[in-house]
Amino acid sequence: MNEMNSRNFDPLENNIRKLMSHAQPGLTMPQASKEKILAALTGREGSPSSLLQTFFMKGKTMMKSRIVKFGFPVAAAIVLMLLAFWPEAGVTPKVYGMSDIAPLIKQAKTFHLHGWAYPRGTKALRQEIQHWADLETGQFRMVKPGGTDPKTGKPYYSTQICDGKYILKETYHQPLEGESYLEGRYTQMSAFQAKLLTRNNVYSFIMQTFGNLDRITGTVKIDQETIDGISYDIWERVVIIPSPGSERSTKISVWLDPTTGNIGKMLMWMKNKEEWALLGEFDRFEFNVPLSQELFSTKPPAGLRMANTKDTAPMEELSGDINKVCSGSLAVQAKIGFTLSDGSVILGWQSIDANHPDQADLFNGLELGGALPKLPIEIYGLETLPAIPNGKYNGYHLAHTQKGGKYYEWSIYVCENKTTPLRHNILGYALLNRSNVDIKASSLALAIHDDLMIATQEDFDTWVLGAMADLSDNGMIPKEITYENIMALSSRIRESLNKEPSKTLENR
Amino acid sequence: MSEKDNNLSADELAGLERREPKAIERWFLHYADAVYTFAFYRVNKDTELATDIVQETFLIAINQITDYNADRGEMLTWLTYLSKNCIRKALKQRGRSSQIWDKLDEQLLHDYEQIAQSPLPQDTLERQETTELVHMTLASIPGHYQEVLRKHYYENQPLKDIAQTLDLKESAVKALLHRARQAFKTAFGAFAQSLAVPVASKARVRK
Repeated sequence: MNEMNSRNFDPLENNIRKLMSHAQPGLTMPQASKEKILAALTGREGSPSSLLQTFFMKGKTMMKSRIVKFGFPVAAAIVLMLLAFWPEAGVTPKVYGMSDIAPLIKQAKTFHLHGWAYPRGTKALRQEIQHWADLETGQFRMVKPGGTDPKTGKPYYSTQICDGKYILKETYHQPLEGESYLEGRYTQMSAFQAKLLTRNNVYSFIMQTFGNLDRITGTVKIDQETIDGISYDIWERVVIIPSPGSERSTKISVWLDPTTGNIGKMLMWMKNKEEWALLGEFDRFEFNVPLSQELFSTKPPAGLRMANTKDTAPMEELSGDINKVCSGSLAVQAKIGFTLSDGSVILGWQSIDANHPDQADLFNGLELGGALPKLPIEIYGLETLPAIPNGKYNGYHLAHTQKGGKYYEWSIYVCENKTTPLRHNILGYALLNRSNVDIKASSLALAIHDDLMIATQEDFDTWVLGAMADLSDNGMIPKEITYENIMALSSRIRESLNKEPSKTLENR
Repeated sequence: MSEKDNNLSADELAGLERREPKAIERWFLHYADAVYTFAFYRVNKDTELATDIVQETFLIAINQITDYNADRGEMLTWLTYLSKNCIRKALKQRGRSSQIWDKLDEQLLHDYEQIAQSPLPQDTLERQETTELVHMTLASIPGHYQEVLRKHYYENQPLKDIAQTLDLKESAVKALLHRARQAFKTAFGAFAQSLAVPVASKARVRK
């Protein structure tokens, strides 16, 4: 039967043709959701855990989803999912849900947060929280509860103001003798570092309220309430925090205006034993609001005892001593990390041998995409945290920069597996390292968790190139380091790894 | 999973019973779109809820995989059966009802059953339920079947052009198209049945 005959006489074909013409095919489950579910099914993900540095408490707490906590069957009732874009939006007005918060936050240039912390869950002890941030200029003002002075019983605050260059930190001193007082101290930093710090402060708060923006999960709409004439949907997100011998949970309740996406109110809870205690309440969480320059003035307020002046303010170095480990005369430090949209990772790092400070020779003859320099300690690869099958990455040289006599290596790490782990499914990366000075030396424990997501060329130019310029004497960036080039290089390396498994870490 | 149909081989089933990640991955990726699409239209196109239901369905399925009996029905049928219970529960918890659940009247079902025998009436073709059923069907058949159906019937590409694009002989495309139509018919019929028959009265596909 030829095609024409088939069309005329085969009812099945005719019907399918008509059915297809009425229905644009193409509905599939969002890839991110598939990855997420697959990870839960195979137990690879270790669940959507993430580091939670609470806004009110020092230290870090590991969050863990109910998927792992309760096991598969119960977990199904509280799955943590990304919402996906459905292209049938048509002409119906936009209705904002929690998943729509992510793009709103991501495009925001300014933030304002206002609320109260309730120490020990007691409203009577409430302390005000204020946070203004301008991500474009790297300016912020953050007022957080510091505690209560045992002598006076009065609450005190910890304030940090950054004007884009100087940071004024106010610290409450409680000497054994004499009156308590507030001391101010200046530090200064590059414009890049100020922007980075401003961003990190904002995203630290967002992380603990909404979780990872690339996977806003586990939110459930529980109710509606009208406040000041505005009807809000109330969303709730519960996170289990495992702790030795017991279990705690946090809960975030968000009042979201479904017509505008504005947040009218947020409550943060902590569950101890069986009772929920209100830890904090926010009545403002605004994006893209105009912020007065006055807010970011680092002029010391009256009564503040200053420990130094702007002229004597020490210059902060990018990352300070974070992510640095030493072994004898050798030291290695990851200065900053970035995860690209394809899952590859860029790392700026340095390694020094105090006995041989001049490293110029080590960087001679290196090529883009070629072997890494043989620095005293070499970060030759990465592995996901937690470790998962096929979660290893090979390192390749991108460029080096030099600042103040120190050399900084910029490397790209490409996953050996075809399917690169999604960043929001892992906590971070272990930095696989070896000593090139003492080959018998054991590997040093080193990891990064605070890498930045690079989704666009703008992100790349701002953060990757910004960091490179920041760690360069003249602010110059190697001309071959462009978003396009690096993404293409990453792709080429991945293809070559897939074709030649002998190049993987296991086989090298 | 065979690319040609929705049947699960004994080895693949054994791999699932042993919880082998690779087997789970192949199994999940093979059926995820179908279950998602199935759920999507039953929860009033709520993507979040549909995704939740997919997860719940597969979690239940993997935990009950030893209960699955291939002789009693295809894996997809079993998964859609499991998902229907998840859907019912989810909708009940939210005080919502499915828009599609009660819509399939007997006439519509009868029309669907005639897909290989007689032309579908115009009003049946234009029903929203039909459109959604087509989406479910397409999501449930292998990708290369979807592709060839889309190219030929939606984009109206001649067999010759498809053959060129796919680097196949025209006769091979014709054969592929034939298999794709058969797969479409089977899945379409199965979905129509599953839509029409209330869960409570349907025998469980279990050992």
